[in-house]
Amino acid sequence: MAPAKRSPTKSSARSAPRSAAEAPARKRRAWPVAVLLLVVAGALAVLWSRQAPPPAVARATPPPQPLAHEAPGPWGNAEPGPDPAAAPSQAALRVQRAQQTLDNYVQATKYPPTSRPLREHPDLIEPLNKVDHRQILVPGGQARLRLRYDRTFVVGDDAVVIRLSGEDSAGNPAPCEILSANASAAPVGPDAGKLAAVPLVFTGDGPGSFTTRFQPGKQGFAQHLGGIRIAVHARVADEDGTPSFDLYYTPTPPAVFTRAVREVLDNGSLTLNLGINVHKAGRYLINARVDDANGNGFAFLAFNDEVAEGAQEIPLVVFGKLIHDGHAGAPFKLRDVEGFLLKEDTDPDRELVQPLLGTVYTTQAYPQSAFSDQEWQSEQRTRTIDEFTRNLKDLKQQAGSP
Amino acid sequence: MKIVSKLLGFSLGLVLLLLATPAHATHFTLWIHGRSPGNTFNRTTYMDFSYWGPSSTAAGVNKRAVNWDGQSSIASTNGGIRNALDCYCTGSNFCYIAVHSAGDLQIGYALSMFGNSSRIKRNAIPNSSGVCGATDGSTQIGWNIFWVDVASGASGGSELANVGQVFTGTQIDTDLKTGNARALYNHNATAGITFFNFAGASGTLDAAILPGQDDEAVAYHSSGGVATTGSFCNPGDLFCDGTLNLGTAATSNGKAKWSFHTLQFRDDNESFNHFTNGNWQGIVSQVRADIVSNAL
Repeated sequence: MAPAKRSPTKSSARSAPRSAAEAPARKRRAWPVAVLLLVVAGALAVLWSRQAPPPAVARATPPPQPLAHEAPGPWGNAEPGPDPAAAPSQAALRVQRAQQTLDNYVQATKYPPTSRPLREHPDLIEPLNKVDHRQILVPGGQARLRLRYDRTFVVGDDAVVIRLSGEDSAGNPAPCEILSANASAAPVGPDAGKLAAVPLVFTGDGPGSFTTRFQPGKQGFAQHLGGIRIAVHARVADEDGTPSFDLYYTPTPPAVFTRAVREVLDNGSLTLNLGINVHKAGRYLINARVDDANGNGFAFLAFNDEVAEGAQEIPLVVFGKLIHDGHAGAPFKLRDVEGFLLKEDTDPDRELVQPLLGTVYTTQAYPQSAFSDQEWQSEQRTRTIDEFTRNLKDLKQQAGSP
Repeated sequence: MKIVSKLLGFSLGLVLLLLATPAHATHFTLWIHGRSPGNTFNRTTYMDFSYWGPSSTAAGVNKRAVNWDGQSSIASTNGGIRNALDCYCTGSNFCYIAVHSAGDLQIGYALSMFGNSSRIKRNAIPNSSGVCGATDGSTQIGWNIFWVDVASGASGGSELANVGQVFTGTQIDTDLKTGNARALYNHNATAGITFFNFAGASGTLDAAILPGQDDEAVAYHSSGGVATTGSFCNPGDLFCDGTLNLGTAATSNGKAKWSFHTLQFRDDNESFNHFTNGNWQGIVSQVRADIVSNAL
């Protein structure tokens, strides 16, 4: 957020130390001895830079001593400080951080980004971005309006079910009254302020609980792409206020899943090629979940790439090692596929594809031996691990540790 | 002249030999700021640290300020962030990233949506538009990033935006509503990069709006990287849903953090608020200390 009470200072462009990459090229004269001197000087400079990890620029500003409140992380600042005599040195802490960085990355990338453990996505285990949130009505008040809606993303003729109820600050039910509610275009995007607010009617479905079913395509938003703001004037106990939240709507999807799946076992992984008819070419982000034969969700599949117009297939890869590590038995069930066309550098930034909810496809049965237990490898992973390893080695040398 | 020629040949050979051995990467530290409507920060030199504090302050190796307008939506301004990542975090260059508040949404969106996309390798020398030149025309997948330090991350949104108080009137305020921030992208997809979260708790002004512990702008559910909203607090605090635990551990009531997010600092003394005060203060001071120590 804004740096409060900030008094902006002038840019330091002129005074800041410049990196080697920014150093202006020097003019050279075109006679041999000068060329020779420059070549030798250049060679020495390169040699010097190789012998001085990290780069010389890194040393232009020596790191200060640790601040008084610094301690090895993760930490809380109320915890007892370490015994100074036993505290690791700054250099040792740097080694520790670099080792953690390397270890984290190696662990994080043993599976490809397209095929991840489902448990890695605690907020995406189920599709549609369901929300269950409590919102105060008055600053400093005790009452809460509990907002529950079964989807954030709405496509075509889909509807969202919104449920409201009142609670006190301890979460106990409290008397609730919905005074008014409406839907309007969210204040971002081309339709902001152009569409009239549409009243929403909530009906009681229990003590202090109210529900409405909102179908944007049939209730005034058939031509609207983007956010829809739901504003609710509610009274809980003796407090009233107007909290709001946003849904995201696409009237006409840019592509349609065909539900056809072609499975291919390749290099120890199983690829599920999902059919899609693409009306608008571009970068599509598609997610899906996979359950094993026992109904346990174990894989979160992700596709993120350009797709051409026409009849296409989205390759959703169940990575072999993920199957091994998850002790997942086939046949697998592909379920809850959702996605969108990403529109870069604009808002709204996506057009939603109609999701496929529930089981979409059941694979053949395979023995565990059909799948590879090898870690994912790529140029990206190798490049990163190489640099992290080199950095760690340099820091160990500086710390004098093996 | 013969001696000169031999020396020249020897020197050229030495240069070629040295160039053939693996080079050390150049490291940069990129600072991505948060909500700041109406700012006039320079967006092309990467040297304007006005948001943070004096530019003379140590803030990591080869520090660069990645500035955006601080008020438009994440989706419409993220191209500038990606451009900076292309500049300094491709080819032989590697980056440390530090972000504050809505800067968390910026780097999270970039990594989640584009962290495994093809990038042109660039030379870390920006032109007058802030775009760096291509090195050799080749590409790579993703960016070269060690880790991300997050000061009071707002990628889980803020209730101040929900209730339309304080955070209201700009596009970024819509992104900062808790439901929108959390649905904007897959927060668990970081391209394998670790996010180190630093959460402040010196909150009094808007404590009545923000659940649990907060730093006057962002509550622990967001700054602590928890994958759901709720009221989370320091150990021993009553009347909260649960304790925000350090590291990658779930809260005491079992609410998981987003993957690859680790709580590096929890403000048990309630000492750090949200604001830099134009002098690297508040929770940013903790991130700066970490950066100075580890971004080498």
